[in-house]
Amino acid sequence: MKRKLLLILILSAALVAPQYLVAQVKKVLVKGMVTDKETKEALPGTSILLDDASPKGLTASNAKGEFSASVPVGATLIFRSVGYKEKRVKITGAETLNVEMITNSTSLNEVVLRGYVSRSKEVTTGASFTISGSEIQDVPVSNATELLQGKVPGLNIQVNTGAPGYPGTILVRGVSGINTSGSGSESFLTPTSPLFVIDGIPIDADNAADFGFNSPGGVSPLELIPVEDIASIEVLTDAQATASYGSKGAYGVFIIQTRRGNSKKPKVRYTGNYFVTAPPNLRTTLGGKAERDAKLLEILANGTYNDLLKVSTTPILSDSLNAYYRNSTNWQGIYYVSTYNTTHNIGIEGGDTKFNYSTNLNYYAQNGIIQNTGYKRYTMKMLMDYRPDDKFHTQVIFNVGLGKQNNGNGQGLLQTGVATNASASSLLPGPSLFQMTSDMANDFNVKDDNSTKTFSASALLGYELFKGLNLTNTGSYAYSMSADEKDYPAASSKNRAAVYSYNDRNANLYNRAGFTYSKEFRGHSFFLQGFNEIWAKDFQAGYISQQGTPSDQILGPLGYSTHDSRGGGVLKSFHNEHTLSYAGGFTYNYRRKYILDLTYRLDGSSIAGFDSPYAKNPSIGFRWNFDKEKFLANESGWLNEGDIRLTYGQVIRPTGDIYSLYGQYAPTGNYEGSNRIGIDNTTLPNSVLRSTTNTTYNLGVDMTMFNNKFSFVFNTYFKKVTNIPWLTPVPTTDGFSYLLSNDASQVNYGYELQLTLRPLAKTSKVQWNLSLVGSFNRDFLTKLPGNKNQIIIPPNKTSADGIGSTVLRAGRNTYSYYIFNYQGVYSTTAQVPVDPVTGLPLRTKVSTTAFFKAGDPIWQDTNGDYIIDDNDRQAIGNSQPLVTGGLNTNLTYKGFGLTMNGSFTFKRDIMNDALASRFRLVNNPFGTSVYLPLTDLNYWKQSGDQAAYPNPFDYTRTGIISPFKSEQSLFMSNGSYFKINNITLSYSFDKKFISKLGMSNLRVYASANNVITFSPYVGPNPENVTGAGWDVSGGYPVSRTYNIGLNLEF
Amino acid sequence: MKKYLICLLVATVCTWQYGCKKFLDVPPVDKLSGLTFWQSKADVDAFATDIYAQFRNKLTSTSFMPAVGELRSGYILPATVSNSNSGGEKNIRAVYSQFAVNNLKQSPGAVLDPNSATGVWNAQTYNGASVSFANITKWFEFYTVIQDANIMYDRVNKGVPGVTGADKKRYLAEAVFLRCFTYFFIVRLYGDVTYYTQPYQQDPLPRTNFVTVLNKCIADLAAVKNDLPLAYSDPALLAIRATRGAADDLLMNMNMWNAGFDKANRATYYQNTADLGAEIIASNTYQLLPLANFDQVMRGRSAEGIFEFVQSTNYEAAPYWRAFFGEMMLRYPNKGTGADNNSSHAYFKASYLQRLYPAGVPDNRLTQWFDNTWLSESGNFQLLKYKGNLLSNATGPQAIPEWGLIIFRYAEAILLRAEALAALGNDSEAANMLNMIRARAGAPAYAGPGGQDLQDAIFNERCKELMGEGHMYFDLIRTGRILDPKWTADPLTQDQFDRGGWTWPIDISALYNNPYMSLNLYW
Repeated sequence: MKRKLLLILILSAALVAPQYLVAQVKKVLVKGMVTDKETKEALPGTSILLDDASPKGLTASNAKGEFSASVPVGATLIFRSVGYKEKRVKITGAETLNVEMITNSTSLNEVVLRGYVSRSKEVTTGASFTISGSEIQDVPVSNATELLQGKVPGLNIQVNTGAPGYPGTILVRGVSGINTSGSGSESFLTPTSPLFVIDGIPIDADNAADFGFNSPGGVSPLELIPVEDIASIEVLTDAQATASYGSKGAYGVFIIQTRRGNSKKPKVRYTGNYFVTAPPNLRTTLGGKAERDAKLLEILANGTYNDLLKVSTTPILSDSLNAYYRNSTNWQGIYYVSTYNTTHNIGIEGGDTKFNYSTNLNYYAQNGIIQNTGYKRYTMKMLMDYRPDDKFHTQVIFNVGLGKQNNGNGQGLLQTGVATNASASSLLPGPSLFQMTSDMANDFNVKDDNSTKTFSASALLGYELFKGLNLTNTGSYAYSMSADEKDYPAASSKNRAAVYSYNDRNANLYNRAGFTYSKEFRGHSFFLQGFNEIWAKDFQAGYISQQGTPSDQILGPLGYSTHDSRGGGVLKSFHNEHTLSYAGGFTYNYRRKYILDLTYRLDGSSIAGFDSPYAKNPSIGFRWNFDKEKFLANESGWLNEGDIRLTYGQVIRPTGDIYSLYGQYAPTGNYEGSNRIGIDNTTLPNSVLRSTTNTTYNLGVDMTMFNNKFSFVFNTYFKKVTNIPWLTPVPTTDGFSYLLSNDASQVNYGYELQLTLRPLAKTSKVQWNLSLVGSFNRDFLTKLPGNKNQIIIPPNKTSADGIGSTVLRAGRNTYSYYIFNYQGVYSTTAQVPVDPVTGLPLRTKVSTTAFFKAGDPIWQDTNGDYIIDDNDRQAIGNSQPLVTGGLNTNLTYKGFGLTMNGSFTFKRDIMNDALASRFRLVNNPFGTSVYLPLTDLNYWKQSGDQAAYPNPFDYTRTGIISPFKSEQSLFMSNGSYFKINNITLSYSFDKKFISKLGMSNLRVYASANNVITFSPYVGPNPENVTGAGWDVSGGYPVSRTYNIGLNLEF
Repeated sequence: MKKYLICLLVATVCTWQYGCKKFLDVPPVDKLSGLTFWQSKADVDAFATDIYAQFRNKLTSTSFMPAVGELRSGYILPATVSNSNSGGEKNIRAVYSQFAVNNLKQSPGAVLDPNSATGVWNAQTYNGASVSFANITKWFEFYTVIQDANIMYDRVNKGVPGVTGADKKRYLAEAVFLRCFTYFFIVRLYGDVTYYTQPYQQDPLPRTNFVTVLNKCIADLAAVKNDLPLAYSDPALLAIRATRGAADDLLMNMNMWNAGFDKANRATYYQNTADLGAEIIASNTYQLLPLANFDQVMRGRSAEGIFEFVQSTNYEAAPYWRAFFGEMMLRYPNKGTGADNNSSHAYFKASYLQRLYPAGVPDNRLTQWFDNTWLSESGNFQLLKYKGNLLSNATGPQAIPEWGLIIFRYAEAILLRAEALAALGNDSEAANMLNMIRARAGAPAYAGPGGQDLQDAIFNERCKELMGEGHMYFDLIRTGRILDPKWTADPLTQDQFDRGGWTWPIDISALYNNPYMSLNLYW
């Protein structure tokens, strides 16, 4: 085989060689200058190539934009500069040539990456959107994707946690699954993260979730990409575009390119941000005497005789002279604070098309607004790109990163402990040297060092074997280690210092080898591509947990002790997977007018089982660039660009592994001296397990009109997800508890629109861009496993009420709430319905005398049995938003720039658990919780009141009626909002002025992030809710950021 | 040019293809999958062993065998002397009185009621697991055995490297035996059960009439039983793995059970039983050990044992002691020291014992299995059949002899054959069988008339010989004697019997995810 290959190589080389032996013709000297057509500024570093069978680089323009070259008469020169359209000039004789380059501003001339290959966007058919790095760089955030909020149609980003270093939820074209984790108000959608391809290397972004969602263990690789180093982010949304990325691209693909050098003279860029993060408005609380009075009043009004007696034995109520109980502590102020932070980024880059390099150093530090939390990042990137001639190409990238997350006492997204402690009674004394409860000690003094160190290297080799045929190979190795050390001081853990130490390692070896071949004749263009990918992934995590370490300061060494060990060992998340994929693509176009695009990909995995190791992903797309039709071509420019796209694509994601297919076997001890190895009777092997299939149909129209002043992109899609896995409980007679079934399916359809307006002429001194992005998405559950009608989730966990509060019901939107239907308040006791059979009023299940009375909530008795219990719950609402989008504007005048980004979410039902818990706080006047004033709320006070809320103060009702349980439609609120994400005001100094200082660019700016949210929602923040729609009072509030920044370029 | 291009592409693809399969073949190091298991004879053996152990674990998850096979006869009552210590054995055993009136679930204070005064037992745990009698109502574990046996059959049948010829047949037969044995066991507990033989059964199924279930099992097992060995060369496996004798005995029991319900075909069932019994005797594999060595029989793995489950502290952790019948019928010094052990926790009604051992008829079982307090109903009663070696210095309730759970033994098979022969009218041969057992016990040969008298005598003999081994209640049911107060202290009416009063309630979890399922109506 090798010999044959060699032979072919030699043969092909021999065939190509004669092309270089072209006869010499007369040459002339051409001189000239290259300038920007609009700004008239010189363009240094423009490559000048001689058009030939394979264009050869001749020279490049110098620092003043000038060039000179010796050219054969009759030849054509090609001028290329990044960010400008290519220009061709035919040389008729010696002359002075002034070349004006036109900026490549329209989207259709963009170069996009499809299947890891650069393509002109004009000839691709899938739906994708590109955001350039400069659009998102003035706001310091730990996760760059957050800044895409409201900018990309079809992409719904919710910044639903303010925890530094934790990403929000990212959904491309609606939800694509039915799985959740957690329960009740702490339920999260199981993340369906898109695939991230960073500089040509695909990355598993769900790494941090390996040990379980919302749990310690590592920093997501996304958090380690500095915003300043991003050149562009391209978001692929439809299945045609993502099909060549295979299974992992089932939920969309993000292609991130980092910066490359493009200047003969080395450039040094510095970006510094100095920012303040401020907690949002905290809730108003009753302080000191007001709190005690409120509690006493409540007891006097509603309490029994025994309760009155109990007051005197409850010192917090009666002992108002005791120094311990007569404080007015602002607990929230102790826990939630403003912090001052900085980031610094230095980039060094330079080179030309032949050789360029870039290096980026980044430091980012953000202290969280909750005490003892924060995120820090140190990264370094080095990139070298070398093209000695037109045939050979190599690129090497190194990345080193350190991410440190400090979760304080909380875990991941939740800070439940803090939320509870921050709602302590104001009467209690604040923390001091002498006053430190173990809860407080936990919150403030737990030392949490959760760091991830990553190292990755990648190398690309490319060779053009002969004209049109390119071979490339890209390989990378990435290794990361995470360690989470939590040290609990003795004061916080029963006087015995404790350590929890988690560590993991994660290795990814990746290689991609492929070819592209393009051929054009008489207007027919063919493009053929093929590549294969191999991926070896290895992950292992373990932990050790021990109590009774020597002291708060001396924490080790740790070992095993029967008395002190609290578990440990290698975690179940251990895995070792190899994947192997083949992908091919074929594109045909006729004069760039009619385009046919086909791709096919096979994905094989070592854990998918041998009967069907390969998942097949086909796609097909058509495109008609109607602006190129003669009958539409005109000079007036009302239509600059226009096209229609129609695509179909299927992305298949294997659901099971060999264990779900063939069963899992493990030693189970011995029986009379003989070894036992049994099958795990938890999950029934399902030999007919099929892969989850995402099928998308997309119809798109793009138009640019009126001299590029107005453009829009419109897409409509229908996405069907079939064979969604679900762990279904099976009959006891099956001898197994569960079956990983996969006959659930779901449908999304929607419309996406991006409108861009540039109303002012290009020559105008003021430039204004306005773009509006809107996506409408509806999702339906079309089928549940076993043709069930509904599944209440979470299926295993139970809420306080006994069952889950989210329901999957076939025919409805995917996630509905499963709650009591609240219909008002019983104004008088006479209104309570009476069972005509027994003559007894409506009651709850708590006891046979738990009757409703005036001031209690009216819950619909769905089954008409005059008992309100879990059978009366109904499927209500939709936790997923119907419309999302954003509004972005950019105004420049001379050196000044004003940018504003807004995002919105309309038609979403969220559960206002924050309000529910506010009511619930007042139901225990004897407790040590804070009281929040309820004066702004219309609650029931006396018989005959027509109120919006039940009576919160009759605390005796809590045990029998529980009027303020979260699971009722009373707390289901409209979660629509419009948020001004950020405003940036910038000023760039005059270039002439700063060049005297040796700088080439100086820009200062001030920005604010998460500025203001407009919403009808009465809770804290309609965005700060879980993916499943619950406003968790234990969540991490989103902070507001004020920033002053500086860009400096030498 | 194009030709070369194609050549090149083909060449490249070929190099890719090379080693692909290998690349995707990653043996998991942390657990075994169905792909990496089933690779050798040892794997099959380990899997089969696991199935036996699973069954055994179910039988030791509560006082299983005594509860299902003995207590409901009504002849066993808790000793009411003040023998409660920290374990409160007196309170724990109070639940026996509810067994004795067949109050499993219906009236307050029933056996399965965890909140009643008699529910103390159900609140007990052992090694963290509940040992409530509710475990008996949950059939999940039996079905894990059935599924696993079906999976074993399927995988062995598809071929396992190194398992061929006789070995393969033997393992297939063993899987069938395990499945049939489980069905036989649960049919006696729940009546109609869900029946399937497919591996990886996942769709919900309704219950099948139990006579049909057993007939299918009889056919299945009869077809393969001769693939089983008479005995294993490894003495460690004596009586604890499926043998031809165990299959024969199981077939006899299934036939006899069906004979009691499928009266139209009873002659066939009896004939089958008689023939199978003859086969066991003719095999010359088993022998009746002398009464003096009876502790060997009850410890298990003796020459008399046909099929047993064992649990030995030599190999595993100590089993739940109350799972064994003998434990409640012994006291110090036949149990270890401890306040609890100064008296036994239960006793057989004196009137019942006097009926079994009428005065003046010599019987070595009376003298060797009982002492002079044999009629005591106040904690002095002892069933010395279960006497055995004690660990030295053993204390507390766990200080008991090591017992096996004797499912089938030679004497039981002989008596079953006697019963079948007597039902067929072959009185002389039936009497011969009966006398084999009586001879070993030193009792005079049966000299009475044939017919019903002989059948009654055989029944009495089973009561005596198999006392405490979990046959009593099932014998009452299949012979219909449960309806007659002459034979039980806890008779059922014909109506109760027809409505399934002899079954156990089925846990409500059986209804989950199965629209075809129904529970036992009586309960």
